[in-house]
Amino acid sequence: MANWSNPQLTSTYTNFVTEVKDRDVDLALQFDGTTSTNIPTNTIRWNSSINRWQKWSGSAWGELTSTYALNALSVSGSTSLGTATATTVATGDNSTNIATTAWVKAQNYLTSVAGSFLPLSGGTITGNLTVGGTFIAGGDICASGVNGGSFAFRNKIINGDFAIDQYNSGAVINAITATAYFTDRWQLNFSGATGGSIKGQQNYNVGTVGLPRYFNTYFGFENNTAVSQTSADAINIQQRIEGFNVASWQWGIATSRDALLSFYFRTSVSGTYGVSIQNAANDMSYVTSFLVTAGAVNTWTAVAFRIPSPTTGSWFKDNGVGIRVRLSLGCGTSSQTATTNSWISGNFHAPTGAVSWVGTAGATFFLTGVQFEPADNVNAVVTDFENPPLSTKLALCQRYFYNATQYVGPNNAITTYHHPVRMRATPTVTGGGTNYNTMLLDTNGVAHYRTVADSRAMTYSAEL
Amino acid sequence: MYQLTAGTEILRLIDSAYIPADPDNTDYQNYQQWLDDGNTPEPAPPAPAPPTAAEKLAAAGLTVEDLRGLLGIS
Repeated sequence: MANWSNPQLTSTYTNFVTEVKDRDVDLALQFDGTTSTNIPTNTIRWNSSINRWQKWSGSAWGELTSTYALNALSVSGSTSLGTATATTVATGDNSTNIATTAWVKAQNYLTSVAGSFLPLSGGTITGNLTVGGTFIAGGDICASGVNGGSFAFRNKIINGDFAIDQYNSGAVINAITATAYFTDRWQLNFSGATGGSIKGQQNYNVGTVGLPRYFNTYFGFENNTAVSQTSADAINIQQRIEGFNVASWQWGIATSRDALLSFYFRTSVSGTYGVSIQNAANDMSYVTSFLVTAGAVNTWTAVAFRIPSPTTGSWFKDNGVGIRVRLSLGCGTSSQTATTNSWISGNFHAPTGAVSWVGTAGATFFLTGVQFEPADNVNAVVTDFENPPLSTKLALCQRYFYNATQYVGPNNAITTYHHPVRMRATPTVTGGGTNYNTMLLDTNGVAHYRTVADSRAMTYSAEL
Repeated sequence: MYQLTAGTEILRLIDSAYIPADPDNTDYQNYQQWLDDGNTPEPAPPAPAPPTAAEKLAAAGLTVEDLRGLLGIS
């Protein structure tokens, strides 16, 4: 043990060597384990008992690492660095200040649990989790639903991508008849005295128009002649949804379910277009709109609307019309309203000042990917277009309409057919020809005959 | 314009559509509205006369001679 005040002038020659040697031992051992006295302040030693470099303050040995960062090219052997000091990560800090323990302090997005910790394994997030990028799961994702609804058959619009065309088999319709179905489940609905003349076809002018991403079909319209609409005139693309299919939404009561409407469109005419949701009686309307600027014409564009559920009104939940979904191509002032984005009484299709697409000769409008899905969760987002197999799409349409070549026997040879699916109502039959008659006709099938047996092109319609 | 049939169905004359008397059928609802508007359908056509014996033979692909042969009548 050295006394670092020695040697002094008064030191005896017999002690002088020992006093110097003791100091040499301290230096050789880098003060490791030393009990020497009068050590100069700021002396640095190696403490082998705790594997630390330390610094003498004049009264005690302190951690050198608390003051100085020690750089090392590599560390071999044990990588234990002792106990790490916890670092508080500020809200919004997305730097790499991540603790090396199994717990990560959740601050940035998990605001509902700020101040607590999210374990890397187990645990429960009690608030919402928003992921800005792709959510990738190495294992299963277990969830009760999507947007507050079921995973499958979310879309209550049938044939929203216009893939099914039993009515025209893809052929052009030079002038779509008012209220007739221009393709499965879809009508061009005229009201008022001035209808107009509109051409339509599945994938009309596809070589010029092109297909929106992820779609193979759409329906296109071209206005044959310009129409100056009167106040009572209205024209819109419409689908009437059967009440059974939206009964679970419980529209008309306080606990009813919100919805999201989305679609892709392309138009040659700029302006504000009206979208409306209505009940069977047309006495409840929710009108919203989308704006097409001059620079956005002739471009496939996606739009979406959140439709708050109506808590009043009469909404059928049977095989009648449950909900009407309409996209206006123009209407007079009688069908326009200044009250948008809220439920109102009456029959309205578009906001005040909406564009009259039918007022432009040669105007084109293309539509696909129409989806109307439940959105019971306030954070619900529009999901990708639901695209079931073609056979399923066809079956959904055939509840309302189908055509088939059938043998119709003479009186003594009644022929019987089952419909492809149970139809919504007893269907209207066409194609039977002269002296056609039925022995039985209901939602399940037909037993029919005629005077002269023949193979007939039959249609069965139970449209809404 | 509509025409009654021998049964309960209604014939829509413009496209020869055979409309069942189902209150859920939209075409039948339109027919009811058409009636409410004061219109009257055309009466049902008279029932066709029952086929004669000769017509029944023809429908069966037989002649009188064939029938005589089958019955052993010369």
